[in-house]
Amino acid sequence: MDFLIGVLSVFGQQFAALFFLSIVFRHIESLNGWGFYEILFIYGIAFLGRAIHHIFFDNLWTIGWQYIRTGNLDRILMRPVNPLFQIIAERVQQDGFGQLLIGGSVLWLASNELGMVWSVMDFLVLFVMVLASGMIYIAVNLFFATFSFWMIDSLPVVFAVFSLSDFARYPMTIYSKVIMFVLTYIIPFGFTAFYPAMYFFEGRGFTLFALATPFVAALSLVLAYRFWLYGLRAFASTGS
Amino acid sequence: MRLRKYIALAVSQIKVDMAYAAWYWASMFSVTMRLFILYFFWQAVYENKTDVSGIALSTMLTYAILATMLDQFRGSAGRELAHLIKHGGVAIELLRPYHLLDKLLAQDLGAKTSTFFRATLPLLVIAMVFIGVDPPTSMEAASAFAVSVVLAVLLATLIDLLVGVLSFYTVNVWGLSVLQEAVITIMSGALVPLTLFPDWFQTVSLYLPFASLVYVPVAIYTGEIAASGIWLSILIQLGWVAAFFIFVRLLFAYAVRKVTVFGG
Repeated sequence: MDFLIGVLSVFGQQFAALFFLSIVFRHIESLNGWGFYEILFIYGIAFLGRAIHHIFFDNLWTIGWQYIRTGNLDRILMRPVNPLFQIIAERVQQDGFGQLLIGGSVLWLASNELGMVWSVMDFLVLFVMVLASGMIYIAVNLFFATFSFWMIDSLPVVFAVFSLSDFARYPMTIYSKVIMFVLTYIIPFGFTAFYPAMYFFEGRGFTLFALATPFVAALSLVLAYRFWLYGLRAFASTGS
Repeated sequence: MRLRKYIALAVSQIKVDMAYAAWYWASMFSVTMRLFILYFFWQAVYENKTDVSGIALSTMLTYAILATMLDQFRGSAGRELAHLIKHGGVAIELLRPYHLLDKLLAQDLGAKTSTFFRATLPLLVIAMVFIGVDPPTSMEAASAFAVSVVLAVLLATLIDLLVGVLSFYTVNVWGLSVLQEAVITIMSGALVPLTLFPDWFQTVSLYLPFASLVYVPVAIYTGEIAASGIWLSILIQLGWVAAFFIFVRLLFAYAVRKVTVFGG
């Protein structure tokens, strides 16, 4: 039952967003040269990436108030297993699977309407891209959750940074240069949906960025994890 | 050395205070970002057009900004009520010398007044400076807008309370409130003016209370609802407020009787 409600809630939010888009597209043919189904395709990749983050790494949101404030973290630090792994493993969000389903359907619908032909190779690339998208969400979340070691709960900061991910819903070409720069080089949310989608669109450019997606994801994750380790050391030394 | 522990206490209090401030700034930041997304989105929509369904870009942006602001005023009284019911606090509340619904309503309106000054006004200034907000079409529209906003906020709280009262009957209020949220987001006109919707949808929304939450006040401001239609729209809003006010009370009274019976 809770699973259904979870799926329903995600569906509700996403449905509202898609509904908005479809209403606007009743009155226009293209948005800055992008068609409705192209935007839907970009959405689909973001959905799937978010779903991965949501299913397996949802506990990252709670590091401040569930682990550091309550002292739960000390319990975890006692054990001889990677503390980050313990925190992550303590919760699996089932309703993320619903999100996966919705994202998959949106992607399938969009690619059908766009007349895309899928080879095995394309599927493999899609798999990698979605995984990379999820990794970027995770890396950003982990990086800013780490501030909790100094400020007890950095959830507001994580929340604020995550609101930037809404920019990734639309083709990045509609934004100003500054925003594109930030979403590419500083908080790489551009690589959660727009850039990876460009691999599958022909003649739209950004191929280099599309191909860079997995590397950006790996780099972000490494950076975030190093920062986490640094924070953990700082925390352990004051906690003694 | 004895001082150290007190310094630690002081630092921890600073951190607690900072946490409240951090939430304020985080939500300001997130709404500002939403405004920027809206700005770029509508710019792109109007790239090769002067109007969409008869609405000019500056009007559309004004609509989107005001609707986003107004959408921040959705109630939280219902959640409070649901919490009281779920954890049994409602029993004590019922003994106190006030009507619980009125208490929640009053608290909610207080919270929203403070939100208005702390968050909405600064955000409006940001929107005016960076995006641009059209002035109201007339003095009459401006004053009608003010009245209409108050009614819309009241109605939002009442609808929220209704969902809260339902938690006397179901344990899973969360699902209900999620549904409520999605329905309101779509049908209130918080995202786009309802005039952009298909005709059948507009007809349906005429008979539902949701348009009174966002569309009516904002459309009065932007002139989408013409001067001749203003007072009828406000009358309809008033009707919904009255209807929900009475309905929530009746349902609450009925539910409370049932609870007392169970309590033995």
